[in-house]
Amino acid sequence: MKKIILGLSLVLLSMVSVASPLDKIPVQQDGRIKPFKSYASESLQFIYGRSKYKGQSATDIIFTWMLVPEEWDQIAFVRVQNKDLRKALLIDSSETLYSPKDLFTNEAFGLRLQEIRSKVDSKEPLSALEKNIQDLERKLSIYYSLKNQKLFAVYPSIQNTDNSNLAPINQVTNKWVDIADLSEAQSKSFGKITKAFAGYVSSKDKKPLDSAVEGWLSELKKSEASIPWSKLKAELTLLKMKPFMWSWILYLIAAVFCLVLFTSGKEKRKTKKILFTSLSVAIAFHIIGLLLRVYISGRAPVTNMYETVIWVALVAILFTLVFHFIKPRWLTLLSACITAAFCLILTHMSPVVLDPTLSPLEPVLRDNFWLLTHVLIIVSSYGAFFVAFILGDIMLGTYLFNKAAYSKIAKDSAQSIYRCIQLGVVLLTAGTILGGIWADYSWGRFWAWDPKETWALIGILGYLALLHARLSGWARDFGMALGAILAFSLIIMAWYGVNFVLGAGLHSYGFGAGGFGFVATFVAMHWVFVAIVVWKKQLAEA
Amino acid sequence: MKLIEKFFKFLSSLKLAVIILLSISAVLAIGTFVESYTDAIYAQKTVYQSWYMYFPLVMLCICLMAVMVDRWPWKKRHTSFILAHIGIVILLVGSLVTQYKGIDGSMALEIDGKPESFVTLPDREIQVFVSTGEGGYTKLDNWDTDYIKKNPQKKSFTKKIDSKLFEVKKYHHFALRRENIEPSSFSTDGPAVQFTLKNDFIDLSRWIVQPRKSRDVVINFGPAKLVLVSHNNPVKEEGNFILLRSLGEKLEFSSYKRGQLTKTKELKSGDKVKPGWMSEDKDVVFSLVRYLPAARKQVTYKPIDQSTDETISALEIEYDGKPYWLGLNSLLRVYTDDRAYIFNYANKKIRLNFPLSVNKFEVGRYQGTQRAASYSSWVKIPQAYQNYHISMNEPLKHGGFTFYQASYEEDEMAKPTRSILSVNYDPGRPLKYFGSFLIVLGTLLLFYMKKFKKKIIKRKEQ
Repeated sequence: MKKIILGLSLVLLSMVSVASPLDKIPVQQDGRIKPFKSYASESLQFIYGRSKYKGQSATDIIFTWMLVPEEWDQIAFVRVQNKDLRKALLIDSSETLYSPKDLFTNEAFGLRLQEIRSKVDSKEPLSALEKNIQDLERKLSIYYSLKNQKLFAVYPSIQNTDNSNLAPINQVTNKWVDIADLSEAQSKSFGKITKAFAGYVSSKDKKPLDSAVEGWLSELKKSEASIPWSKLKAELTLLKMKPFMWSWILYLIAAVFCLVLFTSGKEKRKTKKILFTSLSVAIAFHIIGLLLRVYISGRAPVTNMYETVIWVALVAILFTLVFHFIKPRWLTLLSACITAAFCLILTHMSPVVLDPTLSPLEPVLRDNFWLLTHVLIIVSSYGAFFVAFILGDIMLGTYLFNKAAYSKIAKDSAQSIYRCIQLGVVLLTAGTILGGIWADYSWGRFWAWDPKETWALIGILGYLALLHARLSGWARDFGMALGAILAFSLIIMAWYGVNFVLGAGLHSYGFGAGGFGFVATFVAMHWVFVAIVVWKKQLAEA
Repeated sequence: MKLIEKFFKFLSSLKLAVIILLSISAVLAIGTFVESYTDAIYAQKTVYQSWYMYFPLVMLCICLMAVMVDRWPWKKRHTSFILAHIGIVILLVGSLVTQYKGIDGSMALEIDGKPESFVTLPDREIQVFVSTGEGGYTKLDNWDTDYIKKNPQKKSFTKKIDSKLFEVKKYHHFALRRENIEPSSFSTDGPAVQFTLKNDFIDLSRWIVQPRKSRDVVINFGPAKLVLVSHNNPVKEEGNFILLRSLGEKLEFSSYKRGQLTKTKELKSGDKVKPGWMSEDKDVVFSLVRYLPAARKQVTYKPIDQSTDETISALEIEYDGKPYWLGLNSLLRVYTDDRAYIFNYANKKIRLNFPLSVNKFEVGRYQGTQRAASYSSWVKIPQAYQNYHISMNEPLKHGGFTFYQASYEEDEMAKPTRSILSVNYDPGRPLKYFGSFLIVLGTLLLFYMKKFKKKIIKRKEQ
């Protein structure tokens, strides 16, 4: 066992990137000052679809865009993932990467863009394909701005606006200047970095580059602007440490030991020790990661999809642990470990859909304790429902493959599901009502039939139906497992579907796109699974 | 008696509760999809405020009451169940009160503008005005409308105005407004000129329209102006400008440099002239595309399926046998042989008994961007001799109404021009809050009622 763990961690260590001295340079983007490392990997992620290019860190890659733009124009690295988009651009190959030059000389692309512009001018709605074309244009324009040293705001310009109607939040550092627009002295200083970087690329000697960057940083420190140095440091730590990755690995290990403990049916002290050690370390990583994000962004970690998924994972594991200490049930703990690991793996694997970027909040969401509290409570309920859902999966899976084992676990597991759902319903109800009160207080509307709140209500009603069905005797142990799986589809709709599928309503500040195929398949597979199990059960009873 | 008892048992059964809960969920789910394809108002009118919704909700209330009666006399262990169930009924009653007695409107207040007291409501009406003969108009009638619920294609909407028939043919929830300039046969209508201006710095193509012949029209392009008149008298303009004189079928072009005449020429469609403002090779080229001695702006609407920022509702109407488009909140003038009418399909308005004005407005932005981070209004209520500050999440309560900062409008220079407040009066609020409180209390108490649950399960299993 030890060997496996050792091997695994070696593989993972190789995934951790080597730091580049450029990482530390503060850059201002979308109203936030971030380390160059964040800026570079977000940009590369957007254009290339990965945060590294052929093993090279994004920081180095983006810097070379400025140094040798002619070369990069020829290299195929702009991702055109969408098949319809390639068809629209009359590209017949299955290749997804194209060079900026290819795309800019593509006539169909130019014509399509003109069409879109005239549509935008006349305010007509755009089709999904047209939005994709716009997206591709945005990718290219970011690349072009970066290679021309634009859109790369590295130096705060001191300016005081006297317009009383336009009072910026931070008057002193409202504007940052692009590399291309730096003053002569600043440009000279930044030029040292560029020079040293060229040397670093050829000789791999870090020292001159390090000192050039340090020189730049000390110059920034001298400026009047308030740069949040400690937050920048925290962000770099978060990026380098990858706490959520370590966390899911440890949750998986814990899950394995849970299974061992459950199947052996004996009290193995050593196994228990390993289980709880890995679990505590996992939780520690998890909490540290969240705290770092809270510190950097200065707000509760539930303002976008990515953060809610991470929060759900933590809630699932924490409340199950509390349940476990009241009454130990290894299968429930196993479900919680799987839930947590699954959520964190999702955030790790799909940065496009679950975007980890910290972006500024819409005005309504700012500085509001109750608003974030209601979201926090609602999202916590998802954690409880998620554990019930996984436990339902385990129960029905066992039923399908081993009826004898099923009859042993059914009663206890159904009771656990019942508990989870009860907790979930209380949280979801309280959170939704709190949301109504907040909306009433700040908008004058207790309930506005916004799809997000309506789906939260549908979720409550669905689970309430299940709880009442249990009371009425309609849903016994088997029914609870079935209901936990089916009702979770409602939560998926409320959580993901409203933002990514319905895409309408007041909660539109949380909207993104993508991942629909994956989620739809996930839900559909569960329905098919439930149908098969029910069919088998009826066959067995007939 | 037996039958009534049986019916009562049915009403108070848990199985009926499950069915009701699921059917409410289904209707709600459909509503969210309707909203996604249309918009919030449409979904509310067709789903959330329809009988598909009311029926299961009424059933739910009946069922809840029946259960509570069934458990009589109540014991201590019933506390959580009673609280939660009564809470739901009270919450629903509160919502009903809000829907029928509440006001949910908005006010768009000019920043530094005059005090206003009109609140715009979401409900719509058609107003009819008739010309008085002295150039003014007087209100003839107004009709309440709700075409989402009562589709005019299914149930015709006809009215008589001065013995002529007014009919709404079609309602389009989403339409785009289009303006066309067309020749007119009315001698009172002024001329219109379509032209282009081109050189290395400027490239534009547009119309200049003179709605009334008596009033000269000036377009200011910054360094130069364009003037359209329908008389032969001198004009008081200075600097560089082009003067277009519409004299019946003829259009006369004159250009002035620093107030001095440089050129005069009669223009025909397709003619190109240089006003002589700059050297010959750099000068602007004015070309006449189309000249209409009498023209009128025709507004039409193009129905589309989806909502965008620019879509607005529009009606296809017929008056006196002639078809017209009538867009929401835009006036339509219609002429008969002897009178003129104005039709206005507009949001209803109510008048507050205290006017409000915004004398200061602030936007805070995220650094380095134009994204608003927060905004707030300083509001003055002259009658109360007082100033108030309304910001996001910090509303103003006055005279039974609550005023919230909803959004704002700005000009091209990103300078805010109007502050938009939402105005709200909600007599159902106390009921909703009390109901919510009972629900939360009841569900929390559920955790202490374990024994009761076990008893029921045991009973059912036997």
